[in-house]
Amino acid sequence: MVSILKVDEIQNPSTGSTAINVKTPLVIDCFYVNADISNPGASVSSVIHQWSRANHTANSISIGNFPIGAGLTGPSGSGSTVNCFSFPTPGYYRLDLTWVHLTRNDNPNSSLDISVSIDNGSNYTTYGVVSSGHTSGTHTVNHTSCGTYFINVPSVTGSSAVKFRITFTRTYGSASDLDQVNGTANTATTALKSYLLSQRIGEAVA
Amino acid sequence: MNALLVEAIQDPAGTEIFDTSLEIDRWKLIGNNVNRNFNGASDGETIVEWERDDFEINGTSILKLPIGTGMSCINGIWSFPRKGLYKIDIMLVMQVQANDAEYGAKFKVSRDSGSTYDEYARLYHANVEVDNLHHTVSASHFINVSSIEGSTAVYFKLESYGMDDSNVSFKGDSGDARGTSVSITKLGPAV
Repeated sequence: MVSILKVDEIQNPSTGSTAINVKTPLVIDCFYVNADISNPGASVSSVIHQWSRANHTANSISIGNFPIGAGLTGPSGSGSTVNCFSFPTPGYYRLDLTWVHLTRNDNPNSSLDISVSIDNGSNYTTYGVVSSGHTSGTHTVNHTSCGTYFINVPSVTGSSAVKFRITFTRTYGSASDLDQVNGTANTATTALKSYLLSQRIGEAVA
Repeated sequence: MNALLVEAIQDPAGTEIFDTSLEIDRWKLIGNNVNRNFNGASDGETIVEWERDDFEINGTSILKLPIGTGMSCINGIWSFPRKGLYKIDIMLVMQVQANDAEYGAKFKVSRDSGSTYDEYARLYHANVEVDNLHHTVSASHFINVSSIEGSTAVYFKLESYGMDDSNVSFKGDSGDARGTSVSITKLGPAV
């Protein structure tokens, strides 16, 4: 006999914290960088707004079926204030950032920075850095760098909404030097390179 | 709303398949607010400069760590707050100015309360020019923590590996920009 328990939430009796809320059992998403982002210039940072939801299929069947549950809202536009990710629902989130760094530049210090806003995108503060570098202007190389981050998201709307964004920064080189966030034009037919995973792993903490 | 208050859920055979005690934690490397530099060549040295990540914006905690009881880290030795199956995400942000073909960190696990450690995994990188290279090496591992106290307690630590030059460094936090970190998430009951 199959036993079925019907319940809205499962809570820990000691802490009162919610372990499972059946309305938000899985909130998982994957965005990829949809273009090669090159050459912001020496000592220049540029917010990455070229993101699309991963939609890769094999034999016409989606690999990830993203979003699972409600998805992130990806960035739009190209200005520094609108290029942010928004969360679909309050919660405690894990973000995994993967950067394929394609470079032929004597620039030992490039980075992807993840920044967080708690005022609906008005102001951002740098949270973490994924770094990479290269020391040759004649040899082309690829590096893959990754970082894991947690964010508590108590609010997703109004003036206290939590958002985040990713910035590409490099330290040396001219605009003509190859030094990029390697992207993919369309993951429906080609492989992911630089991408972002988002997973809601718990309830928001007050 | 119907809420079920329960510590754990077992299958009909009595095997615990889910528990409601979340554990999430994250620790960052610190050191002079810029870089953590080993003084001279280093191999097998426990990395000790960790503190719980307390990232704030205008006094508001962004991480609210720990979720649950939290890890304990004393002199670079991590111990677990409760039994379970854990995922450990290690992120080494490094800054190198040396010709060193193999360096990084060892991920070591003890199942006898720290008496001995087994080298479970390594994180490698290299630089063959004396230039100021930055790079990030990341790895994820699962640990089944079947005991948290007594002579069988499970611990882990990170040790330096093959750092032949004093200019090979792990980069810690610089202001709010975190570098090297260890993230810990409990996935379920111990198996």
